[in-house]
Amino acid sequence: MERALRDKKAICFFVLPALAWFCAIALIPVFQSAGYSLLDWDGIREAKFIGIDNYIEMFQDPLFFKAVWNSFLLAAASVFIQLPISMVLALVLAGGVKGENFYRNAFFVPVIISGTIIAHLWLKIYHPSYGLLNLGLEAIGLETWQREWLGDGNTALAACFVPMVWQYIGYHMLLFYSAAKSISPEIIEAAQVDGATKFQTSCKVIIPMIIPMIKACVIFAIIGSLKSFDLIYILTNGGPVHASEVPSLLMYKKIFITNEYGYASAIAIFIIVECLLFTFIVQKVFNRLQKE
Amino acid sequence: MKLKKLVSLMLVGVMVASMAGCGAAGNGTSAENADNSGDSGEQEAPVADSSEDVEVPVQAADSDEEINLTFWHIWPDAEMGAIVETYVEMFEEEHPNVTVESVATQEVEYQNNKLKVAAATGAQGDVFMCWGGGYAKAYVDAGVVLPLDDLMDKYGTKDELLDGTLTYGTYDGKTYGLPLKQWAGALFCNEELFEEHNVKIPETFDELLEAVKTFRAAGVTPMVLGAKEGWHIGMIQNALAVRTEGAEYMNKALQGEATLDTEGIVKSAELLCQLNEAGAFPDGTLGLGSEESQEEFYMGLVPMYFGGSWVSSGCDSEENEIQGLVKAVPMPTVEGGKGGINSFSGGAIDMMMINANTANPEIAYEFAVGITKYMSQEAYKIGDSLPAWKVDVDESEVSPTLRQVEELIKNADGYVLAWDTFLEGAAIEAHYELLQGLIAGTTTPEEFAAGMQAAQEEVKGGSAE
Repeated sequence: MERALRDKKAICFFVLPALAWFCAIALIPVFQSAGYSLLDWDGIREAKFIGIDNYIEMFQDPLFFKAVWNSFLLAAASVFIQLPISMVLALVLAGGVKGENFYRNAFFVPVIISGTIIAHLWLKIYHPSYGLLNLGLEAIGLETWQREWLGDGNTALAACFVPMVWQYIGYHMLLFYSAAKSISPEIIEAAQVDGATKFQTSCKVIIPMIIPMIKACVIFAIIGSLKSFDLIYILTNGGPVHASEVPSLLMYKKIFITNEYGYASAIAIFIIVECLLFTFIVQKVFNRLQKE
Repeated sequence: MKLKKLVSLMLVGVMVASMAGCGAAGNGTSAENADNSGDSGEQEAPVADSSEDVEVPVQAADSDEEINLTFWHIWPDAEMGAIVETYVEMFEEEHPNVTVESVATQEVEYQNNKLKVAAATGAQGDVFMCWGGGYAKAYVDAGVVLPLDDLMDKYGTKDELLDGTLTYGTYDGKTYGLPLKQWAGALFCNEELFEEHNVKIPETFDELLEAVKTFRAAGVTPMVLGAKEGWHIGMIQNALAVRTEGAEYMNKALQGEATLDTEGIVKSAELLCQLNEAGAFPDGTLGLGSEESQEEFYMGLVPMYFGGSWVSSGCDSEENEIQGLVKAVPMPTVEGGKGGINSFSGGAIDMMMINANTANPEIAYEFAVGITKYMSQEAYKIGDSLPAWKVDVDESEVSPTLRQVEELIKNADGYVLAWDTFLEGAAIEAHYELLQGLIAGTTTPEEFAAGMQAAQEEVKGGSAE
């Protein structure tokens, strides 16, 4: 094994097929998109080279900023609401409760269900006249709280966030849970022998030891939020009047509804750069945390 | 450590790229060259669908040579899908050397994604369903659609068509599309609910407003509207514009020959707002889709639905609870409006077109004419649409609600298509946005008309460059 790893030619040989595939379906399209983003093109007729005009247009478009802002809000909700809930669930489960397996699987179910189905499920929950939410509020006498959840510009965005955050709680929980489980039991026993309560063990021993996993989850959560699409597409399609617009939905509309292929490519490139930037920042922040 | 960072950055890149990859899917290899048509099978249409191998033999067709035709359509559902399959079988029986492969795709997916991506390289089916007006203009300009005039003259096809049905398939004097059907807008009223609440079926806009208020006061949602989908609002506003501004002017304005910023169009938006303020539409309509919303009409809970003639098939369907209760009437007239009771929203916009790269234009044409005529007739029977061809159908076989619509348009003196099929690209999205703004109360009727004109100018200006 040692020898095989030292043989650079062998490494190249075995990596090549996967690398070629990766380039063909991932890297090259990214560069192509970058190229298209410099064109005034509807995807069908003649394209015209216009330099960075698409980017200039993009940064002057208030709708684009609104979409980006919404995706930031979603990222914040994911990091500060979704991840803490996942963490609590994971620690409780890893600490050993009755029916551990059952709960672990139950929390994971939403991750397995397709996003489209979840969206339709919540469409029904939010339905203004026969939805579970409004009927439930009526049943407990809170009629004044009833809203047209997805049809009201003030609540639509929040109403979209709830299922989006809920959907991936189980996913992050499982990652935290497996990381916590992989900590050697001696360490935890040692802490308990020293008189640490369960809460103290969690905060002072387990969490510091799974920081690399937390870092990964934060990155997943942020990137997932920045490129979120499916649930919002079905729940509100960005409406009403763009109240719940996000960048990838805007990109989709620009390509397929208004035929602005070049402009949409510029948005795609922005999303890529944005995601790389956030990853970089999160890495920096966590590196500092780990050093402390 | 550096390397690790790099690797993780790369991984993030992959995640993101997987999305951007979709955006870059349809690359611009030009397939205008007809000699390449044999290769179009290898040019995979990027929208994944394993069943769509476009195999077109390069040689021209001899009478007993094997010919494969692909037919792209939008009827994966059972009712219409069966009609397509029946015809395909009939055609194959008549032409033993021809194999037709039909590829069905859900309509919105087809219209927004699949056809756009494929047409960018001319890789769509030999015969494909398409929409005339603004939608197909880009394809015609790009040269991926076959002009049909010579073939039509040869087979005398024009004599079999009803008057005016070729209008929206004609670009720069050449015909590119065979009309599949016509539609007309009507106000479908559930007579049982009207009687129950003692309301008169409206003939004027004031009566409509009165009816809306009476139903609302009784706790009944008066009209269907799924405002999450802009076109559904457009159905009502577009029809009101036919009343306020008249069909002739609207057709000119939508083609870009006259302004959309007129008093009549402001008025049509104003009337829509009046309906909205009177509570005509379901609660939370901006969060509802068209299907969700119309379901309550079909269940007999909502008394009025302004829609296209396709609503008829739902009214007469045995699955629904309003069979025999529906009366179709024209959009109520507006006092002082320029359009009378005999002008309608509607027209023939659904077309069959032929790929300019097809290896067998003659046989493709024969198939296209055949299936268009057949579907026109069958869709008429089930109440989906009015025929565009001179069909011979026993009237007792036709959906009764559709018969009512047909009676209404007997003396029609003008049609105006739905705006979103007339307009192009960015103007469509602007139209939807402004309509939703009207319903949400964030756009005034004046802003609506001015915004539509601005969007129209931008699109027309852009394509003239």
